[in-house]
Amino acid sequence: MDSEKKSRKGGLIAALLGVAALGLTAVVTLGVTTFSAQVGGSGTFQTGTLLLSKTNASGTCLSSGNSAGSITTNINAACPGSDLGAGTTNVPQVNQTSTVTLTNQGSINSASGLTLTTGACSAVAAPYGASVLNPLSSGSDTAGFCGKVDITIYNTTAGKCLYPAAVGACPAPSTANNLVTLASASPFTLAASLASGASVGLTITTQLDASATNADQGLAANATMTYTLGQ
Amino acid sequence: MKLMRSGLTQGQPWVSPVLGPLILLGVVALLSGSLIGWGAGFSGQISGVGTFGSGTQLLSDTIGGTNCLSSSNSAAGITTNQATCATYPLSTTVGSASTTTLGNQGSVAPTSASVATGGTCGVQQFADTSAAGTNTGLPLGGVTYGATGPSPYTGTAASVAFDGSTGWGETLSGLTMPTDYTLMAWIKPSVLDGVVLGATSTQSNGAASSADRMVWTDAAGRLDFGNDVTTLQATAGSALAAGTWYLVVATKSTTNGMALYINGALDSTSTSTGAKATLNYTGYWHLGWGGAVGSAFANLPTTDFFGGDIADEAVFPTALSAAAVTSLASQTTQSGFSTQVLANAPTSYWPLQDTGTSLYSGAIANVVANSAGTSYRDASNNPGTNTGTGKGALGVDASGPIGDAATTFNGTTGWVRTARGPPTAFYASPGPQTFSIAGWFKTTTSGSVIGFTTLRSNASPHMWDRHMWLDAAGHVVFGVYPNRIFEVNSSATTAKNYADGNWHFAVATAAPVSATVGTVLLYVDGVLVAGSVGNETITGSEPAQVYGGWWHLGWSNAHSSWTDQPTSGYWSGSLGQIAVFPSVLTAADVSSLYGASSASAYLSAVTGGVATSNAFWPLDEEAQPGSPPCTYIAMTLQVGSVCVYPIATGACPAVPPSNWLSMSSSIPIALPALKFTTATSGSVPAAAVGLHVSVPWVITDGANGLSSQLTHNSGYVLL
Repeated sequence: MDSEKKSRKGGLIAALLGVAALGLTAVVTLGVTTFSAQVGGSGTFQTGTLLLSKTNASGTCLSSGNSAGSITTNINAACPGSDLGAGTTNVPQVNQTSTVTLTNQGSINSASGLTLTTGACSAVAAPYGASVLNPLSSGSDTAGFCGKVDITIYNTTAGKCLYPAAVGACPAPSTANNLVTLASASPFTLAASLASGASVGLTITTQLDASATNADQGLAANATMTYTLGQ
Repeated sequence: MKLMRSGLTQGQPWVSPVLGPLILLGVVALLSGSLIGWGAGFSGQISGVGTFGSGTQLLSDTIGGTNCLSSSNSAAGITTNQATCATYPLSTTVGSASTTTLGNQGSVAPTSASVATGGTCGVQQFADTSAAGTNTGLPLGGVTYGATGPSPYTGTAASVAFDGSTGWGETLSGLTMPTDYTLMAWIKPSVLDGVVLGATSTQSNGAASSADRMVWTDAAGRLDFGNDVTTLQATAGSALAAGTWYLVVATKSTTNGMALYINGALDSTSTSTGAKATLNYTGYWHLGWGGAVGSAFANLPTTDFFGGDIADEAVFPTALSAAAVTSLASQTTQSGFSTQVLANAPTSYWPLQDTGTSLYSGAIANVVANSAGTSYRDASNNPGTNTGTGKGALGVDASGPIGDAATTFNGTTGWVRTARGPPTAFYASPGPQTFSIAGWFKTTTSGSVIGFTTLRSNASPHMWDRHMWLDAAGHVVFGVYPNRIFEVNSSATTAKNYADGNWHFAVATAAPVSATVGTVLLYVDGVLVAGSVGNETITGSEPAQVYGGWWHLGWSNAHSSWTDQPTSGYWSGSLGQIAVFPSVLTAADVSSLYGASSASAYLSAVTGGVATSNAFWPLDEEAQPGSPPCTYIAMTLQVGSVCVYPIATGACPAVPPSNWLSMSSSIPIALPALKFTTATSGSVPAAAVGLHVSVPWVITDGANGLSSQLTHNSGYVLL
């Protein structure tokens, strides 16, 4: 019996609500006859870009592809050219220089700056294949070769030697600073911050050390060089 | 409630072992993100491989179609970049030319290149490795090192090939021939007709009054052993076959007679009286040759020359026992055999494992140094015929002026005689009146640099002047004789003692101003030191005496009758780059000559660049080698179109003018072909004919700290 009482009470409430709804409808309908103003539009939220470019003797490359929607990881590991110079016929005590320019190509300033991280050096045979009689010959000192590639890195923007760390110009390349010790000293801060459109220039000087012997002929030292621009 | 862990004091927060590393990683990631822009923010990254490549500097040469490379052609194979080549740049046939083609096989162009003899010239040899070790053998004629060793040997072994017609080995020690003895050798005959080993009373392979103690193969292919006048022939069953290795041993004792062993087995014996007899004489052993033909022995070969390969040849002073022979034959390696041979105390033992790289430069009977003496070229090319000839004791100063070598003079006998005198033009009567003399000198004492006399020799002349010398105080003096003694002396302006052991450059000029007036000037080290400075303008005659004569280098007659005369007519020290000009060099000319910093620059200067000389003796020829046979070979080296040995402005002379095999010269880094030409110099003595004259040759090039080198040390020129 309780259930029946409850059902009747529910029907009454529904009826009252229906009446009320009708009344409101009547009021609104009456308003159509008055003036009105309306503004339409859409809300936009836009992100900035943080893109890094590198220019060396082989050209310029970007951290991401230069096309709509191409930015994904924003990492480019396939930039052409060697930042250590293009020479493949280096001889002892003759240095070569390479210029590298890094630019914030994005719309936002980088507050966390630009860094360089150098990987471990490895040496491989790089014979002079053009020789008819000696197409395969290369030196036997693959183990010691990286330690005989002297290097200095000068930050032309900051006006100081990045490696070895020094105020002002870099010292002449020497045995003390080579591709092995460079990796140990990595990473390097190239700029504490980098405004949109700003650049950092590097002059990298390399030479085969005076201690190199005939066993260091025809070898190639390879070291990964990673430039990272943070937000 | 707090979670508590043992080891923690109350109040310290506890961190889960799992959460700890994760938190740490998070912190690192956070720090990394703030440093390199990772984490929640944007970042851009570019990476690549920096590459630094070294060049290669590799040298090759090609001789007779055979290449030699400075390093092995393999990845990671370059170490010293120096190779020893099997080829030789000089033709074996004297009088022939041979071309060496050089190639830079690397990626780096060389910055310097040179070719030089890499040691003392000598003759190839067969080492005597016995305890005495003095009875060296010398290969003559058709003898070739490095043939394959005896087949029973395991491991590496070699032998020497004899051509059967010209090749043999001479030994150096004359010995009293033993009464008891053993002859031994490994042989592989190519022809069963020739002497393996034999003694005669002469060192050569000519006629001898005595000849025995020999082993040969006869036309029947059988081995024969001759002692005194007795022949022991091996059995027919032991006939040899061509192309097969045999160990042959022949023993003779005064008690047991003669015996022949083949491959360790006793084959035949003779106990006859003749077999026990001894022919007494002092003689020499001959390898691959013996005086059999025409002798009294039986079963004679048709030739005394052995054709085929021989190894481990030895002579023992006793008749080895059968057991000893068996022991020798049982050896399976050359080193084991050698040990066994030495255990039996041989008189002489020639293993014949030589490669030709070890040279003998000592005395050889009947072979003395070429009496023609060292030839000092006239490099003036104007006409370049006033060649000098060395007299007395001369040597080489490797540290000559302007980077060149020079000639040393001993101060008592050494001087250089020149070839051209009267009636040759210029040197003919009268001697030059307008002329200049230039040259570099180094000494620590007084002596004569150059002098002109009426005699070609250095005997006392009838007339003499145009002399340059250092006086007792070390002053440079130049004298002419215009019917009176006239000298200019550096002491006019400086007290400097030029006999200071350093190189100095002196120039004297003489010029007639009129029929009765002349001017004589003297410069030292580019500075005018005497002459017009001291108002020594001469009068009364021509500047120099009028007569025909010859120039003498390292000698003058100034020690006779001149004031400020030298203490000796000879020169004690070094001289180089002496030139005579038919013109008066100006002060600017003298300065230019003094400034010439290399031999090639000086040559250019004195052959028209500054002035044109009509005699120029660089005196940079190398000394005669210690080995007399080497003095009988002259050579030239032309690099591309230019002769670098002797140095000339164009092609080398058709006939090599020098009589030695020793030189050093830079060559253009373009590495053109090297043309070596040899010729005999003088009359080659019979005892030297057939010797294998050799000297190592080293060719190098380099670029900065890299270098490459090729050494050729196993060839020879057949004298």
